[in-house]
Amino acid sequence: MEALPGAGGMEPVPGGEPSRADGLEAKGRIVNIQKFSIHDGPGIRTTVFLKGCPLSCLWCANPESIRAFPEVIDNTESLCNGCLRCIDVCRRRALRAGRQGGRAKGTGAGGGIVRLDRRRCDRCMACVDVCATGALRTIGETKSVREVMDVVLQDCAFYRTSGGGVTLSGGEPLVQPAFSRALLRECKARGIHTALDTSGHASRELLDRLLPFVDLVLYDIKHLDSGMHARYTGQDNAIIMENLRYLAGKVDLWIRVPVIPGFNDDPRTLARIFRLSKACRAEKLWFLPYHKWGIGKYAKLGRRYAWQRTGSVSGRTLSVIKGLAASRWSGAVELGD
Amino acid sequence: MEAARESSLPVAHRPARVSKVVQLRERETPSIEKPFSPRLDDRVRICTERAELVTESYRRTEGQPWILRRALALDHLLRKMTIYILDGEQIVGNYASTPRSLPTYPEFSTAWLETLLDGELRGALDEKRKKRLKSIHEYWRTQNVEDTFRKSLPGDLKDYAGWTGAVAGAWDFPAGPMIPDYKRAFSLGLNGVLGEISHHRSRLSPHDPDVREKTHFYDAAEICARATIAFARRYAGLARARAETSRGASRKGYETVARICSRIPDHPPETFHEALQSFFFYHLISSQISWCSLGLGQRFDQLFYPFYRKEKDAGTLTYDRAVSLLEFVWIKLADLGQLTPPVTTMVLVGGTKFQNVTIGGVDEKGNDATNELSFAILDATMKARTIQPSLCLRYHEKINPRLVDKAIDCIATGIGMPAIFNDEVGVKWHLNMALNHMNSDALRYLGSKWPRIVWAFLEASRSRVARKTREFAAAVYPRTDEILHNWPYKVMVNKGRTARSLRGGLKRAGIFDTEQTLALIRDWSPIACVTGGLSGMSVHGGMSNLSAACVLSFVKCLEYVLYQGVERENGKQMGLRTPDPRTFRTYEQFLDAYLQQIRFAVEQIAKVYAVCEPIYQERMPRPFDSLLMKHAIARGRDATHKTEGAYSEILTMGPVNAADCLAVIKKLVFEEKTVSMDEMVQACSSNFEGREPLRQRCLKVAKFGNDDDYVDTLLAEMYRSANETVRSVKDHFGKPFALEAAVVGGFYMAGTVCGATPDGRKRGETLSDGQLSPMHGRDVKGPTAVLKSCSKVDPTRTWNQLLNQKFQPAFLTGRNKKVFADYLRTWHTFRNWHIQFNCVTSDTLRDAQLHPERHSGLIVRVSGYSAYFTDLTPTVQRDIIRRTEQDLTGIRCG
Repeated sequence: MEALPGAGGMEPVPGGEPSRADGLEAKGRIVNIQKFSIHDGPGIRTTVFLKGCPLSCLWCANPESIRAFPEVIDNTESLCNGCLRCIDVCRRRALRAGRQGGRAKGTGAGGGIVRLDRRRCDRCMACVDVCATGALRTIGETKSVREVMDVVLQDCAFYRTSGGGVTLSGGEPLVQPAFSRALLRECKARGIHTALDTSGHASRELLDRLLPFVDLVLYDIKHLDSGMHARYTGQDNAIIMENLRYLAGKVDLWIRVPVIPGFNDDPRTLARIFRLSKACRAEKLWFLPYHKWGIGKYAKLGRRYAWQRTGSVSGRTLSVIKGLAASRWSGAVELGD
Repeated sequence: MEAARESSLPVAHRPARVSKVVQLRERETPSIEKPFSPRLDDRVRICTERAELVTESYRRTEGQPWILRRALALDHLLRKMTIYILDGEQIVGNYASTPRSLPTYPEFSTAWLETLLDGELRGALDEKRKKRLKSIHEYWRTQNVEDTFRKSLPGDLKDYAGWTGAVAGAWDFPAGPMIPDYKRAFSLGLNGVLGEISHHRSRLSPHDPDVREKTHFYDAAEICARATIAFARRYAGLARARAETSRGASRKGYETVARICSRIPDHPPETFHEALQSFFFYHLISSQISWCSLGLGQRFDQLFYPFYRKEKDAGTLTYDRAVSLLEFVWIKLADLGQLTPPVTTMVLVGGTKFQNVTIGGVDEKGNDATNELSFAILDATMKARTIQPSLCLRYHEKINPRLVDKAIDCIATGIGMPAIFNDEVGVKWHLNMALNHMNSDALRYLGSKWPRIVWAFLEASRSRVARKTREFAAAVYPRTDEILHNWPYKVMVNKGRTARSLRGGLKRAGIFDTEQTLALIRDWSPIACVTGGLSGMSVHGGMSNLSAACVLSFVKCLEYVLYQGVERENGKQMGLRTPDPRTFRTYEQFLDAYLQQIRFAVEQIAKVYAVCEPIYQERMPRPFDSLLMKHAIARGRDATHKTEGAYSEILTMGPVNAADCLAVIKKLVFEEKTVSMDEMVQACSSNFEGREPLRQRCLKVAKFGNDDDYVDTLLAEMYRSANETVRSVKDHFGKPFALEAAVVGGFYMAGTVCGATPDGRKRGETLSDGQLSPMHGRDVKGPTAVLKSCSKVDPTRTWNQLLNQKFQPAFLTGRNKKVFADYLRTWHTFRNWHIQFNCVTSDTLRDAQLHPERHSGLIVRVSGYSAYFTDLTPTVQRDIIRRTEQDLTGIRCG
């Protein structure tokens, strides 16, 4: 990822973008393509989640999209039928029968039947190939723009009637700029509305290359204080702020703020966010209250959930937001969903 | 239907439903004068009064023509049966001696009831009454209709007159849905109808070969009309007596009821209240007292609007009052129910009465017909929260968006209504049907022979119009069959010059008037699940007593191909002996054998039909219903009389599963050749025991509902060819059978008797819950993909299809409401026929927790995004279940 200068000493993401080929053959690493997505922009949309993110927010609800390389997601707890064929094919002996192991468990009743040791795993995905029930799955398939477009085009009729389109999300779409650009260009060529859901942590050249093909930017703001930002997301917000100012007025802008208790839910920070949104002429301000429903995924990915304050957003915070929206904001506000 | 989905009870438990109604009403404290709230328990009680009275009458009338005996029995019933008015009721009418009991119909059949009386219904009546009922049954045992029918069956057909797994007819339960022409009944009043009867009777020619029959019919109709009037008078008297002993608001209520019941139904109703009461009397007698029929198809907002408007303008009726009166009717409709024999219960599931109340749609000019009453009906439904009547919305291009909004609110309350029908498809469907099948009055020119006659005429004629038509038809549809099926529709609606000139020619020749026909057809409404019908002409062209419940299981036919027609359970040769599948070299051979199995099954149905239909027609005529039909009186024929245009229909089950199976066989056995047919047959016969890897491979082949052309086109093609196959079999009137894709509730039962199938379904698992609903858990691409898949099947060719979709209420409220409306609009542009939304209940979610493999397509709202329920961790799942419960119970009404 040499193409990400100034990213605060960011390491090139291992296995970042699978291919730099342009046009329909450009390849990208996809977490998921979700149809009938109705929360990522106007209308009925298809959201393409790309893999890899330069930030690592502690509260992240989609940990599977952070790393740029394919991972095994381990759903054995609920889906494993105990056939144990994955153990047979594992060359690195990363898989072992768990305490309750064995075939006697029958189907669907899983529960620690198989255990995956990720330190040994070299992600050859042989186990995923033999897993019949989908208890072990790969997150991060490589797909070409053509393949993704095949899926996107299936729902054209819905975009037309609902004013929807395609949203690129992630992870961070700008981690795979060539693929994102090719995909967005292809959508525009078909007259499909495009939205880019981004953290803004990328070089301006990359943004510039994508902008001609983007109708709407969903811009995530976590905190305005650089120190806080660096402490909880792994990166300071200098680039993010700079890019936001750059985008102001150039493109339709919705600002999305995850409201995290104990991080950015104090009235002062919220007020600053309103001020900033006004300054950069955002059309809509969207607050997404913190939820802990992503926690389970960490275990499935063999990681630890580091965010401690798992309480939900207080009623006081919500009323602060409503008050600010009434007094300092003329655009649209969404609170939650 | 949602009720169908959940219930697997062997007997229709009507009181269970009623008690639910009552609970709801009590909890919500209605905004209106309190309707009745009798204390009900959940147990079925049997009322023997009807059986006694009917038998009394039949004993007296022995030797008379059957139609007269039926009329006299009804007369006896209506004059003698116990009537009551519950406290606060403003729409009156009852059908059993107490609110909590169900009548029986011994003149039709007794055998199954006898069995149930000693079994599941043991506690339904006390010993004394049971004895009395049994002695009544003694009288009927050898001469009830079902018994007569079974005795006349030849031995080799006896196997097919029950539920074989592949076919089932509700031979022991006369469903007979119909759409009475209430508009006519309201404008004439029964006095007017009696006038018509005497008019037509006086014009009977003594040389008419059917003069005796017709006279009997007129006599019977007259008896019924007079008995109905007397029935209403009894309520008037009762209400007057109650008024005298009460005071205040309730006294006023009784006085109103008394006033109304002493005017209608002999006089045309003048107020909204009178119209509703007239309607309910007719409906009650037609579907409960004289007959235990199913179905009601009425465009309520159109039918009652003139009364509403008149009173509203005069200032004697408010919107709220109209809503509360409708609520009273809703409670009454929800209260109707019947005991059904086990086979029927399995097919129809849970005693639902399919009383469809339709709103929306277009007027006769094709403009939006939405009116205030459409909204009032939705309000009444949301307030009453009863599962009957089932609400239908005719959705069309010009529909009032506010009505759609309100309908979405209604769906979001979790009652799963209204079901939504595509109006344009409905019109086209009826036009095709009219042109092919119907033969009644305004449509008589378009009877079944019509296209052929016109075609012959056009073939012979040398006129310019005829030549042009030939060219036009040949250009659009190269095959004659297709021409007969479809071209008249094109001729009628196309805007091109040829079509226009042809219309002109046909009108001048007096063959038909497009505008007139279209105006008639635009009045269609859904009846009995998802079939469309025309008011006053009933659903089946004529009116078959049985056709609504003849069922064909596509999956079982496919299973027969694997085992050469042998039933696995008992080793009997139930299907056709097709060649050994192991010898098939191509997929086409397999498909051909499959179609042969379907044909064989339909032929068996046809043979049973031929035995039973004449018996039913003679023994169970419907003189009362004839009063309400458009043409029965003018014709001098009972409404059940099969006209030349009538046809018999066959309902299908499991077509989606069958298509999934075909895809697996085509892909794995014939294309990839990775599985041999032998392996497949063995795997299925052993219920995939020890062959889990093979089953998983089967499950991985494309499944319907994911916008995958491979399997979607297979389903479309299967529908087309199966339809042709079914149509190639003729019923005993010489009409082709029609394939109809209304599932009713039989998918559950059809699944239990079906072995493992190549699509990876294990033995006994249920089938998909609609003709277009993807097999549950196999649609994993979300709701847009489901609609796309469905859009590939032509609904006008294969008749109608049922599609169930599940949504969490959160998808239909707040900001998402607009998106949902857009989703619906897209559905409409796809020209699908029917869609209904079940709001996901917490029970469904709990089941999904236990059986994730069955629910992999279930999408729920998580904060800020949607996710597949099964992908979530147990904690989150619990959280969502709790929230869904809140969503549903927290709905405020009105």
